[in-house]
Amino acid sequence: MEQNKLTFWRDRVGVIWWFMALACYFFFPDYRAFGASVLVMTLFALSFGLALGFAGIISLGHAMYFGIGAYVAGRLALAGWQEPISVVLISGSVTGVLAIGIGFVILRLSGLPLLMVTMGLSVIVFEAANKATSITGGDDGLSGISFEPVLGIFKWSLDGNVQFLYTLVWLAVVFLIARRLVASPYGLSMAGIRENPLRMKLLGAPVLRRLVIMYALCASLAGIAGALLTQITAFVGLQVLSLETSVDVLVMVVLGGAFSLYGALMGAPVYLIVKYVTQQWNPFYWMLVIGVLLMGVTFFLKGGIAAFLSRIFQNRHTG
Amino acid sequence: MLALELRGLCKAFGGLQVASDVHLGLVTGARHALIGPNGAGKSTLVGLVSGAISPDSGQVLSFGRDLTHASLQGRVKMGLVRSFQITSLFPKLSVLENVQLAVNENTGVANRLWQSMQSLREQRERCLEILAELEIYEQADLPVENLSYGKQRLVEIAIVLALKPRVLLLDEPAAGIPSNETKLLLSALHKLPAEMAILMIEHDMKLVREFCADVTVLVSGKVLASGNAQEVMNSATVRDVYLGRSGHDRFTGVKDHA
Repeated sequence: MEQNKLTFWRDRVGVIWWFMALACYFFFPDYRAFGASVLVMTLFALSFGLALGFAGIISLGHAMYFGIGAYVAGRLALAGWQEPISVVLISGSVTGVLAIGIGFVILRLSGLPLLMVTMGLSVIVFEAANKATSITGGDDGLSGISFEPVLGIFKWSLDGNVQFLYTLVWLAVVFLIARRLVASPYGLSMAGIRENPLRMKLLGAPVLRRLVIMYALCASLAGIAGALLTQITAFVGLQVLSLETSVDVLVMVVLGGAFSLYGALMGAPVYLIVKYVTQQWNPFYWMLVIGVLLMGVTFFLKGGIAAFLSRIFQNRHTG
Repeated sequence: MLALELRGLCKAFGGLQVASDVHLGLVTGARHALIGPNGAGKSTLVGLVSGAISPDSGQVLSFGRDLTHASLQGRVKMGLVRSFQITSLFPKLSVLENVQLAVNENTGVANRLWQSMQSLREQRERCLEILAELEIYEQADLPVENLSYGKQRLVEIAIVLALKPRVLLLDEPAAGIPSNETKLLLSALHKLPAEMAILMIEHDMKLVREFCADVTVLVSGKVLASGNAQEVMNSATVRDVYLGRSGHDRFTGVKDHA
């Protein structure tokens, strides 16, 4: 019973979230391009939240998959493959397959060692991309990228209409997939591995294999997010592979709440919008505001914004 | 055919011989206690049998199959399952979810990515059956970390039952349970399927007396005595080496606590 009640309130948070995302489209027409980039980062955060919150895979290298997805999409477009949806799917597959190989090696670790190794790996990839100018364009990045209209109908526009709605649909699809995964027996076994991996082994579970598959799925979603970024900005820069991007996504997920899918959905927009607004307000002191926000949430909102909101809704219901 | 057979198991950690030439056989439906003073190597033996520790020499067999080199998971799949001395559960998950994890693994549905938990009716019913049998049905939706220690031990047993063991290793099931909750545990133990072979490590002589027909006494990694519980407990060597006067009294029921 209690579980049903919880999902019900979470879903209500969800309805409000999707409603607000659409409302932003209509009420802030000047910010649609910015909105699309927020939605892409939200998708990226969702992929990271799945790995961190549900599987307990902690990482400072998730930007690696995001960035590789972005570059794959960029290279495909420059090579003449410009159908947007297939490009996204190909990018996601590439990063997913890559993560299977990497996962089998690194997921034998957990906790801080895993954090260090993922960070090291992503720094190496960043440096490699920096040097491999023939593939990545190095510091200059890849420009001159263009894609065909979505479904052959919706042309990419300067004001970001198509970009916003296109990324919103992708986010919705990925969110529904993620929700389904979390509610599956596989999702439950992920929670089991997060809580007590040794015991899972003694229940007969192939723990490493399960983790690798989950990790690959998350990497694939990150690759999808990266490809979408390439499509909405028509550019790929080294920034997508940077350590800072990995840190950003970690902050977004922790801010929103790691143990709920809505954590990523709350954390990413709040973080990016606060960052945007404070940068406008004062380009020098904006980090101060972000710092205070992070400390405030950590100290006062246990479980992040998502947990805070579901508590509010529950209290209203019972009170 | 023996449900569990240990043939000459040896294990040394450095110079310390923690198991030396241990032979043990459990028939189907056996209720066998493994007792011995602290440091006798009881937990090591459970580790050797469950696969957490590999032996220097000797064999572990179950129903004629050699499991000496089988993995932890492989042994569980063969029906060789252990419980833990220190409760090892999934603390933030509900009681039901704890048992579901085990049932899902046992019925092979745990790998399904694209099915909702709700649709697994058969598995759900089996979980609820187990919870009802152990009388923790009422707590099904509570996180395990909110339960009393005694109730947590019952969840531990529920998980183990969900794996349908043919051979069950119970590592001190009564450890840490307050005395007002041991009754719950004992009645749960009595409800275990009769054909299951059970090897139980236990210090509580009262529990051993009530539950086990056979006893093996382990001292410094060696089997000191093995056989019918009454005979072993009454043997002079066992009394001298392990039980002492008070332990023997507890076993025979003269005193419950000494």
